[in-house]
Amino acid sequence: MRVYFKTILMLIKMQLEYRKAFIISVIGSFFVTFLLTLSVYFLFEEFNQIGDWSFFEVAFLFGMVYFTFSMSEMFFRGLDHFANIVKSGEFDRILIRPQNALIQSMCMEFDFSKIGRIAQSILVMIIAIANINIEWTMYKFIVFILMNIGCIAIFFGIFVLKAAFCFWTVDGLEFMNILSEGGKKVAQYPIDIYAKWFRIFFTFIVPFGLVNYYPVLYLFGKDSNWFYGIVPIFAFIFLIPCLLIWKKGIKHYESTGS
Amino acid sequence: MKKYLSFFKLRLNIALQYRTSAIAGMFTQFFWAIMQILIFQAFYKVVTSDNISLPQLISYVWLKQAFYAIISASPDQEIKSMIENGNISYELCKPTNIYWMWFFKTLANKVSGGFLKSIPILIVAPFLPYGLNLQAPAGALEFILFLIALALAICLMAAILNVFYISIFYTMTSKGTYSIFYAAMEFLGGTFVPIALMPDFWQSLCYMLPFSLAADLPFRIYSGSIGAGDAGIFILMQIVWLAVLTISGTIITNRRLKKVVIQGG
Repeated sequence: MRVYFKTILMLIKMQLEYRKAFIISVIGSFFVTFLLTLSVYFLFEEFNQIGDWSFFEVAFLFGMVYFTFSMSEMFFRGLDHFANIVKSGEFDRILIRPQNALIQSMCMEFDFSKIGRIAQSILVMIIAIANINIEWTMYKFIVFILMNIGCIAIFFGIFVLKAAFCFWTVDGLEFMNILSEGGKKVAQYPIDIYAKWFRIFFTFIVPFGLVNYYPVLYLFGKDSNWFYGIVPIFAFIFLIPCLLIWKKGIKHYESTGS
Repeated sequence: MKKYLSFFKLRLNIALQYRTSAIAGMFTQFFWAIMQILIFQAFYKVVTSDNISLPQLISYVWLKQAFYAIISASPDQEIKSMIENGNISYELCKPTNIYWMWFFKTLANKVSGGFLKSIPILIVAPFLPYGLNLQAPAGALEFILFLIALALAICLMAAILNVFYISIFYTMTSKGTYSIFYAAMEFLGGTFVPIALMPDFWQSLCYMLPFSLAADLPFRIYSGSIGAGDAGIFILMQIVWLAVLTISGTIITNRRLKKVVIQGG
Protein backbone atom coordinates (compact mmCIF):
# COMPACT_ATOMS: atom_id res chain seq x y z
CA MET A 1 0.00 0.00 0.00
CA ARG A 2 2.86 2.38 0.77
CA VAL A 3 4.26 1.68 -2.65
CA TYR A 4 0.91 2.60 -4.16
CA PHE A 5 0.79 6.03 -2.55
CA LYS A 6 4.40 6.73 -3.36
CA THR A 7 3.87 5.95 -7.03
CA ILE A 8 0.72 8.05 -7.10
CA LEU A 9 2.59 10.97 -5.60
CA MET A 10 5.23 10.70 -8.30
CA LEU A 11 2.59 10.61 -11.01
CA ILE A 12 0.92 13.71 -9.57
CA LYS A 13 4.21 15.56 -9.53
CA MET A 14 4.84 14.48 -13.09
CA GLN A 15 1.53 15.90 -14.26
CA LEU A 16 2.02 19.16 -12.42
CA GLU A 17 5.22 19.68 -14.38
CA TYR A 18 3.21 20.46 -17.50
CA ARG A 19 1.37 23.26 -15.82
CA LYS A 20 -0.51 24.77 -18.74
CA ALA A 21 -1.76 21.46 -20.11
CA PHE A 22 -2.73 20.46 -16.60
CA ILE A 23 -4.76 23.62 -15.94
CA ILE A 24 -6.58 23.27 -19.26
CA SER A 25 -7.56 19.68 -18.54
CA VAL A 26 -8.73 20.57 -15.02
CA ILE A 27 -10.89 23.36 -16.42
CA GLY A 28 -12.08 20.95 -19.08
CA SER A 29 -13.15 18.28 -16.63
CA PHE A 30 -14.86 20.91 -14.47
CA PHE A 31 -16.67 22.32 -17.48
CA VAL A 32 -17.93 18.95 -18.75
CA THR A 33 -19.45 18.08 -15.39
CA PHE A 34 -20.94 21.55 -15.21
CA LEU A 35 -22.73 20.99 -18.51
CA LEU A 36 -24.04 17.66 -17.24
CA THR A 37 -25.35 19.33 -14.10
CA LEU A 38 -26.99 21.98 -16.23
CA SER A 39 -28.68 19.23 -18.25
CA VAL A 40 -30.22 17.73 -15.11
CA TYR A 41 -31.35 21.21 -14.11
CA PHE A 42 -32.98 21.74 -17.50
CA LEU A 43 -34.94 18.52 -17.16
CA PHE A 44 -36.31 19.58 -13.80
CA GLU A 45 -37.05 23.03 -15.12
CA GLU A 46 -39.33 21.31 -17.63
CA PHE A 47 -40.80 18.59 -15.43
CA ASN A 48 -40.38 19.80 -11.82
CA GLN A 49 -40.01 16.30 -10.42
CA ILE A 50 -39.32 12.68 -11.23
CA GLY A 51 -41.58 10.25 -9.38
CA ASP A 52 -41.76 11.92 -6.00
CA TRP A 53 -38.18 13.15 -6.07
CA SER A 54 -37.30 16.82 -6.34
CA PHE A 55 -34.45 18.45 -8.21
CA PHE A 56 -32.16 18.81 -5.21
CA GLU A 57 -32.69 15.22 -4.14
CA VAL A 58 -31.66 14.02 -7.58
CA ALA A 59 -28.86 16.58 -7.68
CA PHE A 60 -27.54 15.03 -4.47
CA LEU A 61 -27.45 11.60 -6.08
CA PHE A 62 -25.90 13.09 -9.21
CA GLY A 63 -23.18 14.78 -7.17
CA MET A 64 -22.50 11.64 -5.21
CA VAL A 65 -22.24 9.39 -8.25
CA TYR A 66 -19.95 11.79 -10.07
CA PHE A 67 -17.83 12.29 -6.98
CA THR A 68 -17.35 8.60 -6.36
CA PHE A 69 -16.91 7.79 -10.03
CA SER A 70 -14.28 10.48 -10.50
CA MET A 71 -12.46 9.31 -7.39
CA SER A 72 -12.47 5.76 -8.74
CA GLU A 73 -11.41 6.94 -12.16
CA MET A 74 -8.58 8.91 -10.64
CA PHE A 75 -7.25 6.24 -8.32
CA PHE A 76 -7.99 3.11 -10.35
CA ARG A 77 -7.35 4.50 -13.80
CA GLY A 78 -4.66 1.91 -14.47
CA LEU A 79 -7.37 -0.75 -14.26
CA ASP A 80 -9.64 1.22 -16.56
CA HIS A 81 -6.90 1.27 -19.19
CA PHE A 82 -5.73 -2.22 -18.42
CA ALA A 83 -6.16 -3.35 -22.03
CA ASN A 84 -3.19 -1.17 -22.97
CA ILE A 85 -1.07 -2.71 -20.23
CA VAL A 86 -1.85 -6.20 -21.48
CA LYS A 87 -1.45 -5.30 -25.16
CA SER A 88 1.95 -3.70 -24.68
CA GLY A 89 3.24 -6.63 -22.66
CA GLU A 90 3.77 -4.33 -19.71
CA PHE A 91 1.95 -6.79 -17.51
CA ASP A 92 4.88 -9.22 -17.72
CA ARG A 93 6.99 -6.66 -15.94
CA ILE A 94 4.38 -6.30 -13.26
CA LEU A 95 4.27 -10.03 -12.67
CA ILE A 96 7.99 -10.31 -12.01
CA ARG A 97 7.98 -7.73 -9.26
CA PRO A 98 7.41 -8.98 -5.71
CA GLN A 99 4.31 -6.84 -5.17
CA ASN A 100 0.61 -7.40 -5.55
CA ALA A 101 -0.24 -7.31 -9.27
CA LEU A 102 -3.56 -5.58 -8.70
CA ILE A 103 -2.07 -2.70 -6.73
CA GLN A 104 0.70 -2.30 -9.27
CA SER A 105 -1.75 -2.19 -12.17
CA MET A 106 -3.79 0.36 -10.28
CA CYS A 107 -0.96 2.82 -10.10
CA MET A 108 0.24 2.41 -13.66
CA GLU A 109 -1.69 5.56 -14.43
CA PHE A 110 -3.11 8.40 -12.44
CA ASP A 111 -5.13 11.20 -13.95
CA PHE A 112 -4.95 14.08 -11.54
CA SER A 113 -6.94 16.39 -13.82
CA LYS A 114 -10.11 14.61 -12.63
CA ILE A 115 -9.78 16.93 -9.65
CA GLY A 116 -11.85 19.43 -11.65
CA ARG A 117 -14.70 16.97 -11.88
CA ILE A 118 -14.38 16.08 -8.22
CA ALA A 119 -14.57 19.75 -7.23
CA GLN A 120 -17.66 20.27 -9.36
CA SER A 121 -19.44 17.22 -7.97
CA ILE A 122 -18.64 18.13 -4.37
CA LEU A 123 -20.05 21.58 -5.08
CA VAL A 124 -23.25 20.05 -6.45
CA MET A 125 -23.55 17.80 -3.42
CA ILE A 126 -23.09 20.71 -1.01
CA ILE A 127 -25.67 22.88 -2.77
CA ALA A 128 -28.08 19.95 -2.82
CA ILE A 129 -27.62 19.15 0.87
CA ALA A 130 -28.13 22.82 1.77
CA ASN A 131 -31.48 22.76 -0.01
CA ILE A 132 -32.82 19.49 1.37
CA ASN A 133 -34.24 19.25 4.84
CA ILE A 134 -32.10 16.62 6.47
CA GLU A 135 -32.17 16.20 10.24
CA TRP A 136 -28.53 15.35 10.71
CA THR A 137 -27.57 12.89 13.42
CA MET A 138 -24.31 11.11 14.02
CA TYR A 139 -25.79 7.97 12.51
CA LYS A 140 -26.94 9.78 9.39
CA PHE A 141 -23.48 11.20 8.92
CA ILE A 142 -22.03 7.69 9.08
CA VAL A 143 -24.65 6.56 6.57
CA PHE A 144 -23.57 9.35 4.24
CA ILE A 145 -19.92 8.30 4.44
CA LEU A 146 -20.87 4.64 4.00
CA MET A 147 -22.83 5.47 0.85
CA ASN A 148 -19.84 7.15 -0.71
CA ILE A 149 -17.43 4.39 0.22
CA GLY A 150 -19.87 1.75 -0.96
CA CYS A 151 -20.27 3.49 -4.26
CA ILE A 152 -16.51 3.71 -4.76
CA ALA A 153 -16.30 0.02 -3.90
CA ILE A 154 -18.79 -0.84 -6.65
CA PHE A 155 -16.92 1.20 -9.23
CA PHE A 156 -13.69 -0.43 -8.07
CA GLY A 157 -15.31 -3.83 -8.53
CA ILE A 158 -16.41 -2.90 -12.03
CA PHE A 159 -12.94 -1.68 -12.94
CA VAL A 160 -11.38 -4.90 -11.60
CA LEU A 161 -13.90 -6.90 -13.60
CA LYS A 162 -13.16 -4.91 -16.74
CA ALA A 163 -9.43 -5.39 -16.24
CA ALA A 164 -9.87 -9.10 -15.55
CA PHE A 165 -11.69 -9.56 -18.85
CA CYS A 166 -8.57 -8.33 -20.62
CA PHE A 167 -6.88 -11.61 -19.71
CA TRP A 168 -9.28 -13.36 -22.06
CA THR A 169 -9.92 -10.75 -24.71
CA VAL A 170 -9.14 -7.08 -25.24
CA ASP A 171 -11.95 -6.66 -27.74
CA GLY A 172 -15.57 -6.17 -26.86
CA LEU A 173 -14.68 -4.23 -23.74
CA GLU A 174 -17.25 -1.64 -24.78
CA PHE A 175 -19.73 -4.01 -23.20
CA MET A 176 -18.19 -3.33 -19.81
CA ASN A 177 -18.99 0.34 -20.27
CA ILE A 178 -22.59 -0.61 -19.70
CA LEU A 179 -21.59 -1.31 -16.13
CA SER A 180 -19.30 1.67 -15.53
CA GLU A 181 -20.72 4.47 -17.70
CA GLY A 182 -24.20 2.97 -17.66
CA GLY A 183 -24.09 2.41 -13.92
CA LYS A 184 -23.02 5.99 -13.46
CA LYS A 185 -26.02 7.19 -15.42
CA VAL A 186 -28.42 4.76 -13.78
CA ALA A 187 -27.35 5.70 -10.28
CA GLN A 188 -27.99 9.39 -10.95
CA TYR A 189 -31.67 8.73 -10.41
CA PRO A 190 -33.28 6.86 -7.52
CA ILE A 191 -33.83 3.37 -8.86
CA ASP A 192 -37.53 3.24 -7.99
CA ILE A 193 -38.23 5.18 -11.19
CA TYR A 194 -37.10 2.31 -13.40
CA ALA A 195 -38.93 -0.80 -14.57
CA LYS A 196 -38.79 -3.79 -12.25
CA TRP A 197 -36.36 -6.03 -14.18
CA PHE A 198 -34.00 -3.08 -14.45
CA ARG A 199 -34.28 -2.41 -10.72
CA ILE A 200 -33.55 -6.00 -9.80
CA PHE A 201 -30.43 -6.05 -11.96
CA PHE A 202 -29.08 -2.89 -10.36
CA THR A 203 -29.86 -4.03 -6.84
CA PHE A 204 -28.82 -7.66 -6.74
CA ILE A 205 -26.30 -8.03 -9.56
CA VAL A 206 -24.61 -4.65 -9.69
CA PRO A 207 -25.75 -3.19 -6.40
CA PHE A 208 -26.04 0.52 -7.15
CA GLY A 209 -29.47 0.51 -5.53
CA LEU A 210 -27.89 -0.46 -2.23
CA VAL A 211 -25.63 2.58 -2.13
CA ASN A 212 -28.02 5.23 -3.31
CA TYR A 213 -31.69 4.37 -3.19
CA TYR A 214 -32.12 2.65 0.17
CA PRO A 215 -29.73 4.73 2.29
CA VAL A 216 -31.08 7.91 0.72
CA LEU A 217 -34.60 6.92 1.72
CA TYR A 218 -33.40 6.93 5.29
CA LEU A 219 -31.15 9.96 4.91
CA PHE A 220 -33.90 12.18 3.52
CA GLY A 221 -36.39 10.92 6.09
CA LYS A 222 -38.62 9.34 3.45
CA ASP A 223 -38.47 6.12 5.41
CA SER A 224 -37.54 5.87 9.09
CA ASN A 225 -36.28 2.29 8.92
CA TRP A 226 -32.70 2.60 10.25
CA PHE A 227 -31.71 -0.65 8.59
CA TYR A 228 -31.77 1.04 5.19
CA GLY A 229 -28.87 3.14 6.43
CA ILE A 230 -26.41 0.26 6.73
CA VAL A 231 -27.45 -1.44 3.49
CA PRO A 232 -24.38 0.00 1.66
CA ILE A 233 -22.25 -2.51 3.57
CA PHE A 234 -23.78 -5.31 1.49
CA ALA A 235 -22.49 -3.61 -1.64
CA PHE A 236 -19.03 -4.88 -0.68
CA ILE A 237 -20.18 -8.42 -1.40
CA PHE A 238 -20.01 -7.39 -5.06
CA LEU A 239 -16.23 -7.22 -4.72
CA ILE A 240 -15.88 -10.94 -3.96
CA PRO A 241 -16.79 -12.32 -7.41
CA CYS A 242 -14.88 -9.48 -9.08
CA LEU A 243 -11.67 -10.30 -7.22
CA LEU A 244 -12.16 -14.03 -7.80
CA ILE A 245 -12.48 -13.46 -11.54
CA TRP A 246 -9.34 -11.34 -11.43
CA LYS A 247 -7.47 -14.17 -9.66
CA LYS A 248 -8.70 -16.65 -12.20
CA GLY A 249 -7.72 -14.27 -14.98
CA ILE A 250 -4.13 -13.98 -13.84
CA LYS A 251 -3.79 -17.76 -13.96
CA HIS A 252 -5.20 -17.71 -17.47
CA TYR A 253 -2.86 -14.95 -18.59
CA GLU A 254 -0.56 -15.60 -21.50
CA SER A 255 1.85 -12.92 -22.51
CA THR A 256 1.32 -11.15 -25.81
CA GLY A 257 5.02 -11.61 -26.45
CA SER A 258 7.04 -8.82 -28.01
CA MET B 1 0.06 -28.10 -43.20
CA LYS B 2 -0.21 -27.59 -39.48
CA LYS B 3 1.35 -24.18 -39.94
CA TYR B 4 -1.35 -23.08 -42.34
CA LEU B 5 -4.08 -24.49 -40.17
CA SER B 6 -2.93 -22.54 -37.15
CA PHE B 7 -2.62 -19.45 -39.30
CA PHE B 8 -6.17 -19.98 -40.46
CA LYS B 9 -7.32 -20.45 -36.89
CA LEU B 10 -5.60 -17.23 -35.89
CA ARG B 11 -7.30 -15.25 -38.65
CA LEU B 12 -10.63 -16.73 -37.76
CA ASN B 13 -10.14 -15.83 -34.13
CA ILE B 14 -9.34 -12.25 -35.02
CA ALA B 15 -12.46 -12.01 -37.16
CA LEU B 16 -14.55 -13.53 -34.41
CA GLN B 17 -13.20 -11.08 -31.90
CA TYR B 18 -14.28 -8.24 -34.12
CA ARG B 19 -17.66 -9.86 -34.08
CA THR B 20 -17.75 -9.84 -30.29
CA SER B 21 -16.83 -6.19 -30.27
CA ALA B 22 -19.59 -5.48 -32.80
CA ILE B 23 -22.11 -7.35 -30.68
CA ALA B 24 -20.85 -5.58 -27.57
CA GLY B 25 -21.32 -2.24 -29.28
CA MET B 26 -24.83 -3.20 -30.29
CA PHE B 27 -25.74 -4.15 -26.75
CA THR B 28 -24.38 -0.86 -25.50
CA GLN B 29 -26.52 1.07 -27.98
CA PHE B 30 -29.68 -0.73 -26.92
CA PHE B 31 -28.87 -0.35 -23.26
CA TRP B 32 -28.33 3.41 -23.55
CA ALA B 33 -31.51 3.96 -25.49
CA ILE B 34 -33.66 1.88 -23.15
CA MET B 35 -32.21 3.51 -20.06
CA GLN B 36 -32.90 6.98 -21.42
CA ILE B 37 -36.41 5.94 -22.32
CA LEU B 38 -37.02 4.61 -18.81
CA ILE B 39 -35.87 7.91 -17.31
CA PHE B 40 -38.07 9.95 -19.62
CA GLN B 41 -41.03 7.69 -18.92
CA ALA B 42 -40.59 8.44 -15.23
CA PHE B 43 -40.48 12.17 -15.92
CA TYR B 44 -43.58 12.06 -18.13
CA LYS B 45 -45.58 10.16 -15.54
CA VAL B 46 -46.15 13.37 -13.60
CA VAL B 47 -45.95 16.17 -16.16
CA THR B 48 -45.83 16.08 -19.94
CA SER B 49 -43.81 18.48 -22.02
CA ASP B 50 -45.60 20.87 -24.38
CA ASN B 51 -42.83 20.68 -26.95
CA ILE B 52 -42.62 16.96 -27.50
CA SER B 53 -44.85 14.04 -26.54
CA LEU B 54 -43.51 10.86 -24.95
CA PRO B 55 -43.86 8.62 -28.05
CA GLN B 56 -42.19 11.34 -30.12
CA LEU B 57 -39.38 11.56 -27.60
CA ILE B 58 -38.93 7.79 -27.59
CA SER B 59 -38.62 7.75 -31.38
CA TYR B 60 -36.15 10.59 -31.04
CA VAL B 61 -34.03 8.64 -28.57
CA TRP B 62 -33.95 5.54 -30.80
CA LEU B 63 -33.06 7.44 -33.95
CA LYS B 64 -30.42 9.47 -32.21
CA GLN B 65 -28.88 6.30 -30.83
CA ALA B 66 -29.08 4.60 -34.23
CA PHE B 67 -27.35 7.42 -36.09
CA TYR B 68 -25.10 8.49 -33.26
CA ALA B 69 -21.91 7.31 -34.96
CA ILE B 70 -22.73 9.41 -37.99
CA ILE B 71 -23.77 12.65 -36.36
CA SER B 72 -21.42 12.65 -33.38
CA ALA B 73 -18.57 15.14 -33.45
CA SER B 74 -15.77 12.59 -33.22
CA PRO B 75 -13.03 13.48 -35.71
CA ASP B 76 -11.50 11.22 -38.31
CA GLN B 77 -8.49 9.75 -36.50
CA GLU B 78 -6.51 9.26 -39.70
CA ILE B 79 -6.74 12.91 -40.74
CA LYS B 80 -6.12 14.08 -37.20
CA SER B 81 -2.92 12.13 -36.71
CA MET B 82 -1.82 13.00 -40.24
CA ILE B 83 -1.82 16.69 -39.36
CA GLU B 84 -0.24 16.10 -35.99
CA ASN B 85 2.61 13.91 -37.14
CA GLY B 86 3.41 15.76 -40.35
CA ASN B 87 2.33 13.09 -42.85
CA ILE B 88 0.07 15.80 -44.19
CA SER B 89 2.98 16.72 -46.48
CA TYR B 90 2.19 13.71 -48.67
CA GLU B 91 -1.36 14.84 -49.00
CA LEU B 92 -0.24 18.31 -49.97
CA CYS B 93 1.70 16.85 -52.90
CA LYS B 94 -1.47 15.50 -54.43
CA PRO B 95 -3.12 17.72 -57.02
CA THR B 96 -6.44 17.88 -55.21
CA ASN B 97 -8.04 20.47 -53.00
CA ILE B 98 -7.25 19.32 -49.49
CA TYR B 99 -10.35 20.83 -47.92
CA TRP B 100 -12.72 18.83 -50.07
CA MET B 101 -10.60 15.73 -49.76
CA TRP B 102 -10.94 15.93 -45.96
CA PHE B 103 -14.60 16.67 -46.30
CA PHE B 104 -15.40 13.61 -48.39
CA LYS B 105 -13.04 11.36 -46.49
CA THR B 106 -14.77 12.20 -43.22
CA LEU B 107 -18.14 11.83 -44.87
CA ALA B 108 -17.31 8.44 -46.36
CA ASN B 109 -15.85 7.06 -43.15
CA LYS B 110 -18.77 8.21 -41.07
CA VAL B 111 -21.40 6.96 -43.46
CA SER B 112 -19.84 3.55 -44.06
CA GLY B 113 -19.15 2.88 -40.39
CA GLY B 114 -22.22 4.58 -39.06
CA PHE B 115 -24.95 3.14 -41.24
CA LEU B 116 -23.90 -0.37 -40.33
CA LYS B 117 -24.35 0.50 -36.68
CA SER B 118 -27.79 1.93 -37.28
CA ILE B 119 -29.18 -1.22 -38.90
CA PRO B 120 -29.76 -3.37 -35.78
CA ILE B 121 -31.71 -0.60 -34.07
CA LEU B 122 -33.75 0.23 -37.14
CA ILE B 123 -34.70 -3.44 -37.48
CA VAL B 124 -35.42 -4.25 -33.84
CA ALA B 125 -36.65 -1.01 -32.27
CA PRO B 126 -39.97 -0.74 -34.17
CA PHE B 127 -41.05 -4.16 -32.91
CA LEU B 128 -40.40 -3.64 -29.22
CA PRO B 129 -43.45 -3.60 -26.93
CA TYR B 130 -45.62 -0.52 -27.21
CA GLY B 131 -44.30 2.31 -25.08
CA LEU B 132 -40.69 1.38 -25.80
CA ASN B 133 -40.80 1.18 -29.57
CA LEU B 134 -39.68 3.37 -32.43
CA GLN B 135 -42.84 4.74 -34.04
CA ALA B 136 -43.49 5.11 -37.74
CA PRO B 137 -42.72 8.59 -39.12
CA ALA B 138 -45.41 11.21 -38.63
CA GLY B 139 -46.25 11.17 -42.34
CA ALA B 140 -44.83 10.69 -45.83
CA LEU B 141 -43.90 14.37 -46.11
CA GLU B 142 -42.19 14.31 -42.72
CA PHE B 143 -40.27 11.21 -43.72
CA ILE B 144 -38.96 12.82 -46.89
CA LEU B 145 -38.02 15.97 -44.98
CA PHE B 146 -36.30 13.76 -42.41
CA LEU B 147 -34.17 12.10 -45.08
CA ILE B 148 -33.22 15.49 -46.56
CA ALA B 149 -32.40 16.91 -43.14
CA LEU B 150 -30.36 13.83 -42.21
CA ALA B 151 -28.33 13.99 -45.42
CA LEU B 152 -27.64 17.69 -44.84
CA ALA B 153 -26.86 16.97 -41.19
CA ILE B 154 -24.12 14.52 -42.11
CA CYS B 155 -22.55 17.06 -44.49
CA LEU B 156 -22.85 19.74 -41.84
CA MET B 157 -21.04 17.56 -39.32
CA ALA B 158 -18.24 16.92 -41.81
CA ALA B 159 -17.95 20.69 -42.34
CA ILE B 160 -17.80 21.30 -38.58
CA LEU B 161 -15.08 18.67 -38.22
CA ASN B 162 -13.12 20.34 -41.01
CA VAL B 163 -13.04 23.47 -38.87
CA PHE B 164 -11.49 21.29 -36.20
CA TYR B 165 -8.85 19.90 -38.56
CA ILE B 166 -7.88 23.40 -39.61
CA SER B 167 -7.63 24.48 -35.99
CA ILE B 168 -4.97 21.83 -35.39
CA PHE B 169 -2.72 23.77 -37.77
CA TYR B 170 -2.93 26.68 -35.38
CA THR B 171 -2.83 24.92 -32.00
CA MET B 172 -0.54 22.03 -33.04
CA THR B 173 -2.31 19.69 -30.65
CA SER B 174 -5.82 18.41 -30.36
CA LYS B 175 -5.80 17.46 -26.70
CA GLY B 176 -7.12 19.50 -23.80
CA THR B 177 -9.02 22.27 -25.48
CA TYR B 178 -10.71 19.82 -27.80
CA SER B 179 -12.38 17.99 -24.93
CA ILE B 180 -13.96 21.29 -23.89
CA PHE B 181 -15.19 22.01 -27.40
CA TYR B 182 -16.39 18.45 -27.78
CA ALA B 183 -18.49 18.65 -24.63
CA ALA B 184 -19.88 22.02 -25.66
CA MET B 185 -20.77 20.63 -29.07
CA GLU B 186 -22.47 17.60 -27.58
CA PHE B 187 -24.40 19.82 -25.20
CA LEU B 188 -25.50 22.28 -27.89
CA GLY B 189 -26.33 19.33 -30.14
CA GLY B 190 -28.79 17.95 -27.65
CA THR B 191 -26.90 14.82 -26.63
CA PHE B 192 -26.96 15.52 -22.91
CA VAL B 193 -30.56 16.63 -22.89
CA PRO B 194 -32.81 16.75 -25.98
CA ILE B 195 -33.13 20.31 -27.19
CA ALA B 196 -36.92 20.07 -27.14
CA LEU B 197 -36.71 19.78 -23.34
CA MET B 198 -34.46 22.78 -22.81
CA PRO B 199 -35.81 26.14 -21.60
CA ASP B 200 -37.03 28.40 -24.42
CA PHE B 201 -34.02 30.68 -24.46
CA TRP B 202 -31.62 27.77 -24.85
CA GLN B 203 -33.78 26.18 -27.51
CA SER B 204 -33.69 29.24 -29.74
CA LEU B 205 -29.98 29.65 -29.08
CA CYS B 206 -29.24 26.02 -29.95
CA TYR B 207 -31.23 26.10 -33.18
CA MET B 208 -29.27 29.13 -34.35
CA LEU B 209 -26.05 27.12 -34.13
CA PRO B 210 -25.07 24.35 -36.54
CA PHE B 211 -24.54 21.65 -33.90
CA SER B 212 -28.20 21.05 -33.16
CA LEU B 213 -29.09 21.40 -36.84
CA ALA B 214 -26.74 18.47 -37.39
CA ALA B 215 -27.38 16.31 -34.36
CA ASP B 216 -30.93 17.02 -33.26
CA LEU B 217 -33.13 18.47 -35.98
CA PRO B 218 -33.61 15.44 -38.29
CA PHE B 219 -34.99 13.25 -35.53
CA ARG B 220 -37.49 15.83 -34.40
CA ILE B 221 -38.74 16.20 -37.96
CA TYR B 222 -39.20 12.42 -38.20
CA SER B 223 -41.50 12.22 -35.21
CA GLY B 224 -43.39 15.34 -36.18
CA SER B 225 -42.46 17.34 -33.08
CA ILE B 226 -41.29 19.99 -35.52
CA GLY B 227 -44.04 20.63 -38.09
CA ALA B 228 -43.39 20.39 -41.81
CA GLY B 229 -43.53 24.18 -42.27
CA ASP B 230 -40.94 24.91 -39.59
CA ALA B 231 -38.89 21.99 -40.84
CA GLY B 232 -38.57 23.74 -44.21
CA ILE B 233 -37.14 26.84 -42.56
CA PHE B 234 -34.70 24.79 -40.49
CA ILE B 235 -33.55 22.86 -43.55
CA LEU B 236 -32.90 26.19 -45.25
CA MET B 237 -30.81 27.17 -42.22
CA GLN B 238 -28.86 23.93 -42.56
CA ILE B 239 -28.04 24.84 -46.16
CA VAL B 240 -26.97 28.35 -45.17
CA TRP B 241 -24.70 27.04 -42.42
CA LEU B 242 -23.24 24.44 -44.74
CA ALA B 243 -22.44 27.16 -47.28
CA VAL B 244 -20.95 29.47 -44.67
CA LEU B 245 -18.78 26.76 -43.14
CA THR B 246 -17.50 25.28 -46.38
CA ILE B 247 -16.78 28.60 -48.12
CA SER B 248 -15.00 30.15 -45.14
CA GLY B 249 -13.30 26.80 -44.54
CA THR B 250 -11.82 26.60 -48.04
CA ILE B 251 -10.59 30.18 -47.87
CA ILE B 252 -8.94 29.75 -44.48
CA THR B 253 -7.41 26.41 -45.41
CA ASN B 254 -5.89 27.76 -48.61
CA ARG B 255 -4.50 30.77 -46.80
CA ARG B 256 -3.07 28.69 -43.97
CA LEU B 257 -1.53 26.07 -46.24
CA LYS B 258 0.65 28.71 -47.85
CA LYS B 259 2.31 29.23 -44.50
CA VAL B 260 2.40 25.67 -43.22
CA VAL B 261 5.80 24.43 -42.07
CA ILE B 262 6.48 20.73 -41.88
CA GLN B 263 9.03 20.05 -39.21
CA GLY B 264 11.52 17.31 -39.91
CA GLY B 265 10.25 13.87 -40.83
